[in-house]
Amino acid sequence: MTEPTHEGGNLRRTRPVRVFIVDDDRDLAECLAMAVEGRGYEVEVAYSGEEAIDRYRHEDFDIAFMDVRLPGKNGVESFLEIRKLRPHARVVMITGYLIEGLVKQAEDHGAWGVLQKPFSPQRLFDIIEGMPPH
Amino acid sequence: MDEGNLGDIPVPGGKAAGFSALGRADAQPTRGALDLLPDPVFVLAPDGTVLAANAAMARATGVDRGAVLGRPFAALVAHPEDPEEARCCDDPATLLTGERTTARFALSTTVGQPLAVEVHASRGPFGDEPAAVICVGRDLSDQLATERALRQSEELYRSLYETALVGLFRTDLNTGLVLRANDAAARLVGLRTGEEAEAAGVRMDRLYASDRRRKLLRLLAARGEVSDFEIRLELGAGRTRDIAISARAYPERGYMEGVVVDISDRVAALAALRASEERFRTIIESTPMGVHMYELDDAGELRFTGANPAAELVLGLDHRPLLGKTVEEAFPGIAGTELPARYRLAAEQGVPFQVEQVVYKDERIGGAFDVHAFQAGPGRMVAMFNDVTERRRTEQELSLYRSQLEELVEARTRELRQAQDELVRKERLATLGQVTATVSHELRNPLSTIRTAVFSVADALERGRPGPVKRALALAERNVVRCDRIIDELLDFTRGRDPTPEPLELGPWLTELLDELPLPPHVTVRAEIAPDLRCVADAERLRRAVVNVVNNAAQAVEPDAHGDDAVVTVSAGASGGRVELRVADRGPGIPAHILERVFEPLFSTKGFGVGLGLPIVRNIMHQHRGDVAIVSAEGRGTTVTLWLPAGAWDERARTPLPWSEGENSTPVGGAGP
Repeated sequence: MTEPTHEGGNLRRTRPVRVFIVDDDRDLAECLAMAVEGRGYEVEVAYSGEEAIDRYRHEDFDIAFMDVRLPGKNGVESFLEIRKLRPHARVVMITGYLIEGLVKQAEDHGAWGVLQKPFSPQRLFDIIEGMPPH
Repeated sequence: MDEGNLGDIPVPGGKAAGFSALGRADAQPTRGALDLLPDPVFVLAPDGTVLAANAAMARATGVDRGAVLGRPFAALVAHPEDPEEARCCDDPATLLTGERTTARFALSTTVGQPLAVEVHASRGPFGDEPAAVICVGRDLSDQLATERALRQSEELYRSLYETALVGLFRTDLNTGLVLRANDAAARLVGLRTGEEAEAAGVRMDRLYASDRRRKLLRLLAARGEVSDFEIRLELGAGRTRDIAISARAYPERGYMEGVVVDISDRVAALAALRASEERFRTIIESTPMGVHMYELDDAGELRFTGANPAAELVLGLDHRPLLGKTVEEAFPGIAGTELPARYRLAAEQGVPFQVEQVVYKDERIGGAFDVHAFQAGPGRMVAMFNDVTERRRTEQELSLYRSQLEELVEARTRELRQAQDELVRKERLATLGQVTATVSHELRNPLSTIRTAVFSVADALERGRPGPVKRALALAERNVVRCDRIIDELLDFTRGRDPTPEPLELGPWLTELLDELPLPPHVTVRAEIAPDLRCVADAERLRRAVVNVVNNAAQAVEPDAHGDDAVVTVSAGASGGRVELRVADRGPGIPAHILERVFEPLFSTKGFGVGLGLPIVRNIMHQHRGDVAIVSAEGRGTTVTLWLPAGAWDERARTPLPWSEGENSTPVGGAGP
């Protein structure tokens, strides 16, 4: 994606926004990636917390949407690890139900936001478009 | 006797007138009187020859008067051995010389023992002899005999005294000094003989307590004598001896004398007896059991003679007024019981008696008593008793309580069961809450996918780029199916209705099921189904179980390295009265720690899935009186076996019939041909 200006968005960028989707539900991950791609963003997908951390070790993303319930390391644990690698990483937690303690822990440690399933992809775009540049 | 000689014998003492008269006119009657004297009278010449002798003299010596006259007196004197007579051996010469006027002689006799005489002599003229010695004798035989008897008696008593086994003593009243003591008495103070004791100067007052000494003297002063007065002698070196004195005081002579006996053994025995009695008394007095004592009187009545303190406490009764009364008078309530007869039997014949509960009632006392009766010496008996009213009441209460307890236990059990039901209900609610949370989460994932897919389709159409539309719709469709399956699972698990079993030909049914089962494109099912498999089952439920297991297997397998399809093997057969259905995969297998939890509801390792799949399978198999088993090895795959009883359906009994292998479908013993 190379367009400097996004339709309906207010970002002015010289490079495409990189979005990272982390969800073990492959259908949902694929569907979200499809929707995000349809809006002209660059998108990457991972299916577990460990995989996501590994990706962060080698590259960076403008924003990540990460499911809380993941096999192995859960979303919040993974987020905390990612913050160590990338202190400015923006991660939005996605959760099927409010695991209050866990989500609060994530927010306390600087999670960018929380999305409650089932959410409209428009909310996701609102978040991406509302982001200040790094 | 020679009458003619009588005139020759003068009367002794009648020196002046007497002798002159004898030789004169009245000599004849005097001579006659002298011969009549029982005592010997004789006259000696100064040279000692006998000048005259009376008849008694002749009689005494047994010698003819003529043979006596003119003989020397010394020749008539004997020297006897008898000690008493030996004392009568004065020298006859002393009479002749005038040295003595009284002397004793033993006159020789011709008849038996020498005759002892005492002679009083006087000097005077006799006939021609101017200085004759006129002797008047007195027979000492009787006196000597008496003295002899006395001496013998004295010897006897002396011997008795010395050898007596009881101590005989005489002590000084003032100083306690032993004046006389026999051997027995001496031995009591540690000496051997009476003489020793007398010589040793033993002072009794130093051998025992001064207060006893004072008491002894006081008694003696008051009564003159004591009887069995007990004294403990301190003999030094810790040795003691108990003695009893019976003595009389002679204040005017300054002594007391009497008998002393050793009572050490008696005292020791008494002390032992007393100690034993004391122990017995202590037992009787301190036992918590009441004790009544009775004695048979001459009339055969059993009379109450005493009680211990516990008896007063047990019965709450002052026993003193009852002393001496008969058992029936003392305790009127006893008359109606077996006790009086038993008591008598105990007192008379020593037959002990024991009874656990006697109910007694009179105006003062009432209750149940446990009684033990036994003989305590001839004609005496003791009854020991306890008030067991309280015990009886307690036992009754206990028995009552026991029955109440059973009711109580029943009630508690009921309550517990209710509580348990309640708990189960609450647990169900809790499980339901958990299920709801899990299911809603599981539904939210496919719902999110559907929503996103729909958004993407709309977005794509809006932008005129229909590229992703097809894929988005496929994803939406698939996730609608997921939602459907989740809801089915939930319904299956929570559905409470009983299964509706019916005869099932397993082979055709399973083949059709597998054909219609939607599976991932890379999975191939290989079916190996034995012919003629029959069972009784709720087909719809069994289908759910099989689908769950096959789906699990399909999800576990991946295409192999060559891209060939992964294989799930489904085999069915009969064995040991069972119909078995195996689903095997060559997937990664299940780790042991997970394997042991796979039947827990809501336990899931999958990225999606409620965690009810295998619990549902097991529920269903249990409903079919069968079960499910999983064998898995990591890296080698998993085999799940479902089994249920083989058999046909008995229509009349509405129960499954046993199925015999190899037979056709005709029900055994049923309505078949």
